[in-house]
Amino acid sequence: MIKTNLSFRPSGITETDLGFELAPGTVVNDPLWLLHKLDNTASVNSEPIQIVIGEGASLTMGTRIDRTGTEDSDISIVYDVKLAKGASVHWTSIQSGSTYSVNELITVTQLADSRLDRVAIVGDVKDYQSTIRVALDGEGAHSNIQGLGLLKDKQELDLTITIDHNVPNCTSNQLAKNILADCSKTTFTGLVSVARDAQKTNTEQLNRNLLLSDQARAISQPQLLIDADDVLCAHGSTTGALEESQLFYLMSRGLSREDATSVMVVGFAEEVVEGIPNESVKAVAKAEMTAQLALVLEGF
Amino acid sequence: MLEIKNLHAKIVEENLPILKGVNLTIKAGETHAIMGPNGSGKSTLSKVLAGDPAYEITAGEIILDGKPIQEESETDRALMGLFMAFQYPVEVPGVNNGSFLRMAYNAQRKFREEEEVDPLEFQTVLEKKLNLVGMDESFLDRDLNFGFSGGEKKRNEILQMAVLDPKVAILDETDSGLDVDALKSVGEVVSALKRPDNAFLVITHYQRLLNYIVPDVVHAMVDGRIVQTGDKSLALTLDEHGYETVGTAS
Amino acid sequence: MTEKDEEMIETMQSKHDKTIDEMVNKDYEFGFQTDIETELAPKGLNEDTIRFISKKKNEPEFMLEFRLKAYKHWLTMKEPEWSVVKYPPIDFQDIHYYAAPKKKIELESMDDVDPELKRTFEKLGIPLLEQKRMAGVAVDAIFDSVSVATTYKKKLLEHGVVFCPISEALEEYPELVKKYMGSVVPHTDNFYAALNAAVFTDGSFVYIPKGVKCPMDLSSYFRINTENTGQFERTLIICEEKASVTYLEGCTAPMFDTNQLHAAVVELVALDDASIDYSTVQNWYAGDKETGKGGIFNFVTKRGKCLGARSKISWTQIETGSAITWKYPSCLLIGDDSVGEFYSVALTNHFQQADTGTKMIHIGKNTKSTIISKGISAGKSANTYRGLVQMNKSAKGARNYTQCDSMLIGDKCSANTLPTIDIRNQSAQCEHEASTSRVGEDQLFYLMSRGISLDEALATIVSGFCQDVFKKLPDEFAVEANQLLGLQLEHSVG
Repeated sequence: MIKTNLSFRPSGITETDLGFELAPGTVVNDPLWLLHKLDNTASVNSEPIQIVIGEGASLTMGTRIDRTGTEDSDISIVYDVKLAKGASVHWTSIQSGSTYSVNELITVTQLADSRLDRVAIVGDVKDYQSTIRVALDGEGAHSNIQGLGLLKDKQELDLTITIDHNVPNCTSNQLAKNILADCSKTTFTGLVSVARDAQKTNTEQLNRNLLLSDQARAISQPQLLIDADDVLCAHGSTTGALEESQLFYLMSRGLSREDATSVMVVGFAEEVVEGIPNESVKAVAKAEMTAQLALVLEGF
Repeated sequence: MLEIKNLHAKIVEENLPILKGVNLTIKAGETHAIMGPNGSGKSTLSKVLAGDPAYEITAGEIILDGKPIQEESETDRALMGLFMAFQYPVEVPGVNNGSFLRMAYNAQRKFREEEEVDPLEFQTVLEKKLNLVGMDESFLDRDLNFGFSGGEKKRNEILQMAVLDPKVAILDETDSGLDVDALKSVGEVVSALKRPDNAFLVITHYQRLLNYIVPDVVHAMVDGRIVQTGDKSLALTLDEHGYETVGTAS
Repeated sequence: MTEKDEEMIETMQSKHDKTIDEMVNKDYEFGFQTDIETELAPKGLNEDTIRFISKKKNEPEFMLEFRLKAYKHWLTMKEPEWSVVKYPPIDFQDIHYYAAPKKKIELESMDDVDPELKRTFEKLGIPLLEQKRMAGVAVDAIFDSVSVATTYKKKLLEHGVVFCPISEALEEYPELVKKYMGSVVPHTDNFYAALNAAVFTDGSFVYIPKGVKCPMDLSSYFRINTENTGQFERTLIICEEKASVTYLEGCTAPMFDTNQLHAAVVELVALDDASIDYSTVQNWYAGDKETGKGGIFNFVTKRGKCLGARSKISWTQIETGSAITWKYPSCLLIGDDSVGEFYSVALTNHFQQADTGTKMIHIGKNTKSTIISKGISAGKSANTYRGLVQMNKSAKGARNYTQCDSMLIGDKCSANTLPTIDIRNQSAQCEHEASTSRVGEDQLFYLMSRGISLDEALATIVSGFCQDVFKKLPDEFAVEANQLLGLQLEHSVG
């Protein structure tokens, strides 16, 4: 059983057995961190952590696993998030720790005019499987899901995002960026489905993979299932190495190859982190990104 | 040539009334200008005249050359001799600009029960018009408005106008995005096309286009109605003093 | 549903829906059946059927072995279920696996072709008389299970080009057939490929010798005439070093209430510096517009092997017919610097379903592939792009560009885009873009305000949407494709 520790207790929050509820209209701007404290147990299965954001309430939240143990372990985490009318969540998830495998399942239900912004930074994990299912059930809801994977060795990241547009006038955005060194591997499966009645849907989906090694592998499956006609749906996927011409340009300005590479890789990664609106959360995410990138670029 | 009687129209989707009783008569051989601030409904008027399906006429009449046209489709209005140069010409990728021009030209000829022209004959027609508008032939090889700059799009509208030779041409903010030289050339095309049996309606925010297309009559439009009508000096007054004082006197 | 409801639905339907309906609702022109005496194999599939076909074709022993091996393998296989297409179970014992016009056909002389057959192909716009040639295109006409005529055979042979029915190739060039048949699509590849290998009846064979640029375009025309008949043809095209050919394929079938299975296999082999352009205009009967009853199940395996360095295989397809289209013309890019291309327009309407796309497997160095797919869905149809771009470790410097656009017309259809991109080396580069949208009201209004009618405006926009693909087609086919989509726009302003 995973214990969820809150970094502080803002007013308007009620802790429940399996998570917490934020009262309608409550605005929490100071980031609330949910830390999953783990010891050396071999494997962990959590009950679904239930997060309920009341009508018009707004929360800035960060989550991370804080594990003291060093032995191999399989961790399974389940989140069940409900956003009431007009509710909003900025959720930053930071994950690193090379000793354990993570299997994460996030289910989100969004009512009218609610907004989810999620940024996940995943680095230095053994094997990370993340499945995010969003149901847009109220008009005017918006879901924005971004992920950055920084992988090396034989690490694997498997990200599956499903966004169901069940009602009209919703928007969604997916951005998955990965940097792969050594023998690492990533699979991105992004699915947007637009129901027959979900007119005026607007969605975008982008997967970009940067390969730093000939042994690395990127699989990309950006999928659209569209049953409504008055929609704008686009997706894109690019995979490749750093542009030689860009590297050359930077080097011709006096940078070493290593520095030029590092500048470009950081530039590639930063887009995701820059999207975090809260400055203190962004600072934590940036520090994590920098540390992980240093590991990825090690010996490059 | 064009008579607009008590025209009311709304945006279909938002059920929002924009035109609230427009009255306007343009006689053959005349050039009129409508000026007005943003949101006055002047661009809406041009779209409603051309039959934009985003708007619905709730009352009133539009009479072109003696025939009411408000019930006609946008296609038939065009065939009957109405032309609107779009404020924002639409990009249609994959459709060849030159082929499209001939298609529209032939649609007009067919409507008048004249024989359609083949590409070679059309070439002769086009050459003159291209010269008149000052456009390069390479324009014809491109896709319809696709990837055109703002100025190129506007010129392409003027070329279409020159080729289709309408009875009534409406120029909807043709001046926006054009430099002085381009404005001058638009003015020259209009002068060249002007005849005793056709008419022009220029819709603009600024007076500067009217230096090149000199109007016989100028109307000021505010909040969906024409509130003042005068000669071309009205344009200067409006440019200088704005629209706040207009209409109160009338 | 009350009358009032129906009325409401009617008024709700936007006017452009009606136009596309009219446009694509045009009656199927090729729905007639030719009344001709036919020899049929008894319905059903077993070893005897296969022996019957092989004997009819006077095949060498190795061919019968090939067929029986495939049949035995087929028995162990299950019908694939992974596609999004839905159809009732096919009773493989309720199909005639061989149907041929009874009158003896003398392939040496066109004058001996049954006049009824000649009329049939004339009606389809495919003249079999060489003097009435179709702009210098050689034609192999396949009627149910047999090839009835191949034009220009002699003239082509003067250039060393072999163009003949595959059954004839088995008699005259058994070594070539033995060497290449099944080398691109093995009988183990998939359920329908195995079935085809067991029971295929005819198809075209093309061999272009070293250094020869085929002097005219080659074309096969497939016609399914007999009810309850499956058509299982097999096409094999081999281009030796520095050889090139352009090949066109067209298809029609009469209107029957029952579904008919068309399970073809096409294999292309390109050696060093060879180039094959393969175009298809597919207009099989799509089934009843109101009920969806009948129509062709078009379950086809098409694959090309770019075996040689700098070889090139290009697939272009215009898919407008069939109740169900289920196929992925693909390229195996083995030779270094080889090139694969896939250009596709798939239009579905009424109850049609299409699950189509391509696979580009990059194996050689600096291999390049381009995928342009345009899907148009109308009525109650479902249109799916499914594709795979795979770049193996060995494919250093490989490149792919993919663009998949879908257009929806009406609110009862579906458009799905399901690509998979699998990149396994750093120097490979892959770019995929896709968009889904409906016909722009602003575009319709703009064209109409220039005096163009609504249906013409719509046709123009759809044609423009497909332009990137149409311009890859040979001229004769581009015209047919445009007409098939009900488009009139000409592109000949000089």
